[in-house]
Amino acid sequence: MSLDDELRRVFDDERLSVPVRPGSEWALVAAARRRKYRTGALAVTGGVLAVLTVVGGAVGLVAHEPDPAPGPAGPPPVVVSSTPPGEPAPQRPQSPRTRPAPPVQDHEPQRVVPDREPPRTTPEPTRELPSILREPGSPLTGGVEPTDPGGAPSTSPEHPMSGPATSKPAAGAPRR
Amino acid sequence: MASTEDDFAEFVRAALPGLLRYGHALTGNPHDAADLVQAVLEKVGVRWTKISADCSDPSAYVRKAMVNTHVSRWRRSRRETLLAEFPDVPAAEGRDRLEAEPVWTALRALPPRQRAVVVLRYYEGLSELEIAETLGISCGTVKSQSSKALTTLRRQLGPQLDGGEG
Repeated sequence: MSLDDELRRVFDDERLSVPVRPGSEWALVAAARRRKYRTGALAVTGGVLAVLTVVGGAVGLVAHEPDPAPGPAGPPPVVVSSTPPGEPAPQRPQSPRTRPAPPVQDHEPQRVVPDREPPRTTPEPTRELPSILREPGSPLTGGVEPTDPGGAPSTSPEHPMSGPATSKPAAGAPRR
Repeated sequence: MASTEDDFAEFVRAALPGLLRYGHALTGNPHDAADLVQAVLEKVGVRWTKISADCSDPSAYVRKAMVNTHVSRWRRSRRETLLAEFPDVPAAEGRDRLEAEPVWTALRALPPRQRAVVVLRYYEGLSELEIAETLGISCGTVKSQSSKALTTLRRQLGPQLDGGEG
């Protein structure tokens, strides 16, 4: 007998059959139903977890996002320059520089220059400059210098016209 | 829903004996056959609406799934750690009624894929091309697997076969 015949004989053997328990089809139907519910529940749970993860991540990113920088040097000068020339800046009433700055930009350079000049003259009172300034009899020299010991960083002495453009010239002044 | 389950139950009732027999030939013992048939039919039952609508012969689909599941299960289980001693005392196991058959014993010793090729060829009567489609392998692989299986069987059965050479 050949191997092919032997194999066919074995596979046709009645003993290869497995007895089937009655009602096993309903057991399989119930098992499939449980598996279906389990798969559905798993999918729903996974979806909810994924959505929660995405939402939580987004909220976390927004919460940890740094606040905008407190003092960018650019915006404040623009705001103050829009104020009417006659009014003193209400934000900084203590700074005397804001008062003369805006109005005299084009019309009264002579009046502004004396106010701005004390910084230029402050480091040189020991030299002969005070005497030169006092000779014409200008009353500004004596009064302004001591009032601004800090060197009045708000105005650039070499560019007196650039000072009025911004109410806070100290920030961008190239003086130092 | 209920009609779908009734339909599936009817299919199982009609196909279960043949599937168990096929599983027995495939796995080599009736217990693994029952496990294999149950695992596959559970999966099929979940998608029964689609399968019954798409497949002209759901039974062929199930048999194909059984072959692939059996080979995949063997791939997983062969990496299991084998113990020298059983952790539990095994229950008294009934003898396989085909154990006295030398061909059956030699067939059980084959690797699962080779045995699947033999079963599909001699039990299902499929051609090499159909076996290749069922197992998802090339036709050359089917030929080589079949040749190796038959060579092994001939070597083990040697003197009991008369005209088995060739």
